[in-house]
Amino acid sequence: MVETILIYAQDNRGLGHIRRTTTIARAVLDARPQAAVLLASKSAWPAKLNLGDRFEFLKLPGQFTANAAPEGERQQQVESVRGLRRSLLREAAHALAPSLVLMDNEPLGFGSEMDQALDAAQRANPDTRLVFGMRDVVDDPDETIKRWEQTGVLDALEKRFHRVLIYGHPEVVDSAVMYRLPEAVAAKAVYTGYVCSTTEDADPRQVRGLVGEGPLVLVTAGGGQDGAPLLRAALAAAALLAPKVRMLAVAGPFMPAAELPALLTAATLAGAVLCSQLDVRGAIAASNAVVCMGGYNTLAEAMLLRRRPIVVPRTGHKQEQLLRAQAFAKRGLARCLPFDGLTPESLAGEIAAELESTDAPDCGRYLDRDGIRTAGLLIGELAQSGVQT
Amino acid sequence: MSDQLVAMYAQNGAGLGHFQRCANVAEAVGKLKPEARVVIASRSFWPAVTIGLPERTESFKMPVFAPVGVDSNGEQRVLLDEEPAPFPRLRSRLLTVLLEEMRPAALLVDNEPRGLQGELVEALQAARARGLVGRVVLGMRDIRGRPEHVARRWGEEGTAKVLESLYDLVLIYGDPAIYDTASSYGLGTQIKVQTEAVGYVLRSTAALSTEAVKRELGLDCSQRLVAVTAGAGADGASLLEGYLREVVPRLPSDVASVLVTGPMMNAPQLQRLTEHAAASGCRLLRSFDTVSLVHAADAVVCRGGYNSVCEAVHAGHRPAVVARRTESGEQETRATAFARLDLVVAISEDHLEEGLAVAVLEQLASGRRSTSPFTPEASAARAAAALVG
Repeated sequence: MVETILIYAQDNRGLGHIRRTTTIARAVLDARPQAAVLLASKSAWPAKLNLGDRFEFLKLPGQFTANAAPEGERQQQVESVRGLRRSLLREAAHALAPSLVLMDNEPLGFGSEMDQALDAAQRANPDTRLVFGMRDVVDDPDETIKRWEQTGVLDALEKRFHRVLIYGHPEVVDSAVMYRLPEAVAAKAVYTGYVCSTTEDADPRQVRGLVGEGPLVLVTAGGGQDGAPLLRAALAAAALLAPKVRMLAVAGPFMPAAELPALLTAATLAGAVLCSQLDVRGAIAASNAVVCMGGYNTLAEAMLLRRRPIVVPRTGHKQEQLLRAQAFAKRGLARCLPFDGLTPESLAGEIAAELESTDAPDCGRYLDRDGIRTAGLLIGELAQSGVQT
Repeated sequence: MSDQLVAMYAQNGAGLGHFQRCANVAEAVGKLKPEARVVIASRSFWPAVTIGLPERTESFKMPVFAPVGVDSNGEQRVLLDEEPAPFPRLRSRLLTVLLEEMRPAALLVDNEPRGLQGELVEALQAARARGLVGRVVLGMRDIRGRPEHVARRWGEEGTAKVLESLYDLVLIYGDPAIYDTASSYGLGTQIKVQTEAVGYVLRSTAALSTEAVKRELGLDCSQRLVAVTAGAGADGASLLEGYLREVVPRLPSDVASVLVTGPMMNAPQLQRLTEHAAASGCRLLRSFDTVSLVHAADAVVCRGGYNSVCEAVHAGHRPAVVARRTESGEQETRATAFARLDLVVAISEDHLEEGLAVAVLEQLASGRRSTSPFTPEASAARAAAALVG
């Protein structure tokens, strides 16, 4: 093995970062027979994927299940597990002496837990290339910039990182401007396009077979951990549109089990089909309209399949999905429908309008299909790392 | 960290058994001490996704870059010798850091005192020298092999010395009435270490009801069922072929057979078996929840592995056990010990025609026992008490 690549992805229970980074990993491994990739994250999800002998993952201990411990004690637990992860990552980076480290979404990792590991990688291999893979939208710009300043991220991007790959397109979201990247950082930045995989696990015809004839509306809530309100609203909208329109609702692997019975009842009333897991790409391909949250992968897949999704962005303290949905809506790539004020009638109205529209958006140039362009840029970085090929 | 922490090491490569036992003990730790937290370290890529971990238990998966291939005996397995050098070293370091950071009240090592390929020795030595771990405990299966074989190997590999110098206690997951593990291997006599037999630890509750299993297998509820399992499957083909040849033609017409190859059977064998099974009207599967399957079955044929034998016996069967013949003699020794108490019928791999059909027909005729010689929950509780009691 000539080249080892360490990828850090910060997913805990979600899937977004893992799906994006494994798409990229696959493209790199296909192009570089000598390369091996180690993916470090708190997620066990990579175990479900088969990326061959040269891909492995390090599953770090995550958070112990929340419990009734007093706040002070819980905070201490969070800190101690983070300390454990920091040390394990440092050790892995040191032993691996990688040719390249790709940091997904947070340059120094969750709570800066990769900070020491990046040092260790560079000590073990002074030619290590550090690459930051930046999502089109990180979070609220002001807060992100403030946090990055305070935690030394901007400094690291300027002095330690060799390259910033922005997984997006400046015509959709100009991330460098949005996050006011300093000139020295912006000079290292390249837009790769939206990374998405083109392989489908589910055959659209089979998906179609699940629901029968008629216009099909897909509603998906990504991993599903906080998707129940959207599914409830969508199923209520489906009840208004039935029987002309059929709905397929995908709850996602992390939907709390307690939510499912009520959703199942709502689905039955609306003549809709509810399933807990289904390859969303296959389902999008089978559908005539899509209702979703504003996650990166779902929107990239909708672009790939030339759908204009009706996006109800995740609410809460994070602005990521709202900002992305608004940016997509501005370019006519999505309809953005904030959750506040969402009614079955308003959602049904948007679905009906989308089913009637005929102008499918053409977004091919915004995409990085199968992560091939990103992989090419990473391989370009490897060439700088002194690896003999 | 705190005195409420327990670290566990499960030596699994591709299988599940060791990790499963650790998860059972972790669950018992939680019942005994609700504030305790457990981290289970292993190489396995299965457990974190296939086993729901108990509350307050987290997994840590170390990377392995060894390819899966065919070894010199023609068996498909993970080829550890072909792993590039940095990775065994990496695992060893990760385990050291895990103990340094956690400073657990107890460490439970499953079955192999030195860890797979000795990867645990450095961590144990460091932990001992610096007083990082409260108690170091080995949880070992009833049988490791023929006593002379185990004595020789433990001597050559330094295991006996490791047990004496680095361990506080050896928990035996077995019962001296079935096999006297301590005296067979000189534990507590030639090898100076304290031992405690806690009883058989295994997963005892079936996830699926009998009806659900039969429905999933496409069987009629009135049909009787023979479950034939080949463990991990590396060398299960001869057993499954033998069953199809010797037993199936002699079965009453209401009896269906389900054969489970295990994930490691190689492709040509799997292909051949699939054809033979189809010709015999039997179902052939690569994997199935074995606990549910044996609970639903009316007769069981299995290999002599710890989990296979114990799960079948615990479900009330008197399984026909066809032990794998290996250098250690582990399975043959277990089959003999269990057969002596009439808990199983041991059948030689070379003479399947002489007893396998009779053993299956006898099981079908006599039905299942209503009692089990094991108390898995009490055994796990005893193990937990030895760790944190």
